[in-house]
Amino acid sequence: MARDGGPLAGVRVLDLTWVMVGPTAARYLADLGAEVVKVESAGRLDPVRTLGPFLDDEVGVNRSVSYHNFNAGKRSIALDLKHAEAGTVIEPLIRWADVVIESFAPGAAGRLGLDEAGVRAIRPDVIMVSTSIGGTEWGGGVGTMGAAISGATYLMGEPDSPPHGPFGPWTDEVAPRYIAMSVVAALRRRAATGRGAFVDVAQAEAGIQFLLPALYQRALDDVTPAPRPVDRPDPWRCPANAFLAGDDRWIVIDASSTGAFSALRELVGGELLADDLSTIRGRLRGRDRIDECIGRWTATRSADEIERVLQSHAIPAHVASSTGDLGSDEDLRASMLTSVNLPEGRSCDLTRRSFRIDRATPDVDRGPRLGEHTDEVLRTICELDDAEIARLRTAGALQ
Amino acid sequence: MTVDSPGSAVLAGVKVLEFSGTSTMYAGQLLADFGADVVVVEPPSGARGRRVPPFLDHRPGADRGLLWMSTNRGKRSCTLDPDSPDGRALVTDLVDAADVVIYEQRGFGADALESSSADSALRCVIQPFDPAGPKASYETTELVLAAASGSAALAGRPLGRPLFFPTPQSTFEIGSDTAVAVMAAFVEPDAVRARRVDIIGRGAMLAAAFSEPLVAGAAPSGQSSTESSSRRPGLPNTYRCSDGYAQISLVFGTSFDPKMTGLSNWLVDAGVAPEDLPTTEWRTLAGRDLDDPTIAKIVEWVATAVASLTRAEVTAAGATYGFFAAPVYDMADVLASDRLRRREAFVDVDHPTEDRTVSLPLSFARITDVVPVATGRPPTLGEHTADILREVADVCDDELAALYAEGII
Repeated sequence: MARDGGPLAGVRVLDLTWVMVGPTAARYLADLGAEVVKVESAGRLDPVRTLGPFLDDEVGVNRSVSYHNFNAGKRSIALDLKHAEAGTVIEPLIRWADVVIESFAPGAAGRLGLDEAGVRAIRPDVIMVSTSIGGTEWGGGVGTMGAAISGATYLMGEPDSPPHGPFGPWTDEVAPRYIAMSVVAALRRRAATGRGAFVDVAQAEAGIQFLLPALYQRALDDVTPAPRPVDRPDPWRCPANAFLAGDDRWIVIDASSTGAFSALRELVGGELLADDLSTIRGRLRGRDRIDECIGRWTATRSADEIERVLQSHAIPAHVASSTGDLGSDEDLRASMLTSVNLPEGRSCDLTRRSFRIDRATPDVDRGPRLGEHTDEVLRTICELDDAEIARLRTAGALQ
Repeated sequence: MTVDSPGSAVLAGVKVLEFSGTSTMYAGQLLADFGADVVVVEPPSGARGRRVPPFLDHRPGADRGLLWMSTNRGKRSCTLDPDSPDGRALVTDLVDAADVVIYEQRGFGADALESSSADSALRCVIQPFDPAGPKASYETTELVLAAASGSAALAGRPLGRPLFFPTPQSTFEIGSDTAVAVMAAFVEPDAVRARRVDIIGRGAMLAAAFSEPLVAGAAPSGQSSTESSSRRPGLPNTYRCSDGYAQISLVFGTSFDPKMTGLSNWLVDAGVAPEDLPTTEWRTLAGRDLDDPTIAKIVEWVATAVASLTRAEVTAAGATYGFFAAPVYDMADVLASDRLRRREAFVDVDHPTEDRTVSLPLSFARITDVVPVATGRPPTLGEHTADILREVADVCDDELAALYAEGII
């Protein structure tokens, strides 16, 4: 599955990570052309293999579509890293790799001899990547913790309720970009100097970067940013809100610019034609009237129809896409989503990245079955013969 | 303009030309963080990003926007009107001198860039929707992109009102993906490995929807998309404690059993839950929500156990017992956090408008010998126009004066 295209063609990545941040960072590198071998184990199963969505809602180690998506295009070997013979496999893999990524709980990599010192002893110019919530300061964790520590959780909520936070383990989607760009930076530096590097990305710190205006507001203005009222998502724009459509779905309309509002008032009519709403100030002051009037209009139409009609008049609007909407959206199906065939005899959807290099729409392969490439990788990269592979398997190292 | 440590400027010598738009700004910032020479090109009236609220001290101004300040550190600013004949010619000169040019397909400078004959620089073009799809011509704003990406509806309660971040996420989601792709093209010091990079904004933001876009395609055939939409459980994520809120994750799935066992051991030791709670078959609860009596009870017990504790005590219990817990920080807490300070995430950067430095947690990565943070303040409008135009187009003093007099720069 070596890739010939992409700017990182020729870069070899040993992926020792699990769950989401590390695997996604390695997939970024794969999507840019790198060759990735993932090490996993039936005895220490990647938790994402136990998380849905599952094919046909049936739980199974090779049935998690999330796993496929985070690990698309990688090869998988099954290896018990705690086994006495693990070094026979892992050492040649480290020698092979330009980049080694680990996301164990802080301290765990050292106990396996897979911290920077251990890895660098085998491959002196390696780029060793370690990612965690916040290093030894915070211990092991998940992206919901990163969201809480970074300030994101506090910033999203509803009045008089505990902070709600963004969807999912938020920093798990934020941090992989910082890992990927840091790896690229380290590769460039290595090409210039011959020196490897240690890359440490803390997911909570990555999350802070996505909230910089709020950080600056507190640091420079002594104001602690708070969540916005749910029915007023932007205090400086009107109309700019979510409205309930006739089919009980939400449509987001942002017609605060003068041009967009002119077009909207022609379509909606009624109260929107009032003279005092011709100015920005008038609209900000008449916000409740405007929202009520638009709400009455949206209530008699379907969300899809509203999106189509408003956009045909150059008014920014989009359905607040739900899970089902995302899967069936023709825009996403154009190239962001792609259907891949699976050994289970059916297909599933996976996502592409947002970037297209040199106008190519990259192929996306499914994720590997657990240990699917163990023999192939042990033969070709580790240069072990069949007898040795059989011996390791009998000894219990390859599981 | 980067921290003065050996080897810090990984992208030193890479010349970036950024035609400013709200989705280019953070990409330019990240490239500057890694040491690239970034010129932000703006119309004579100032980049749109300078006008995004909120503003420092509630006083709007070209150098006072908080989004602008936080995404334009260490760049140089050059103004020009690309719709004028002189402006068009200068665009070609600027592009000829650059290694990479970043712009929005329908944004500032796009027409002049698309018609320019200069083709030596890598072109990075950002558009909100897929040019191959039916929504290619859609108009967007931050709220509309958040709606389209799923993040707004998914953050809200199932079928409830969408929730939005108070800070624009599109700038950061799109900017960071753009930086990854552009930097990859510069992975080698002496060769550029791509001619063109296209970025689909909605695609970058789709990351915030995690695996949700894949649910429909995984469902048994015949299951409707409405069923897919309503299946998502909404478990409480935060709990009131004595000094604010603590975040505690209830996670179900074979590999997470030890976490739930740890949480239940803690609840038993805290005297709020029955002794047999740790023997619960956790994996059977996967996909359930508050309607499930066991989950409802656990949520109630957690709320009781947390109520009298501080955030720090809850976080410490998580570490001791082995469950996922963290303090819910606001930005004041982030800036006051000893734990973040001890990790040396804080960096001194120039104050955006005053002659002093401020210490902020801007270090998103530690890389051997490299601190990827541009420490210089954002440029004032057109601050470097004269220098840059002299540099790339050999513009003399009288020409500069004439261009300025005509409102072209």
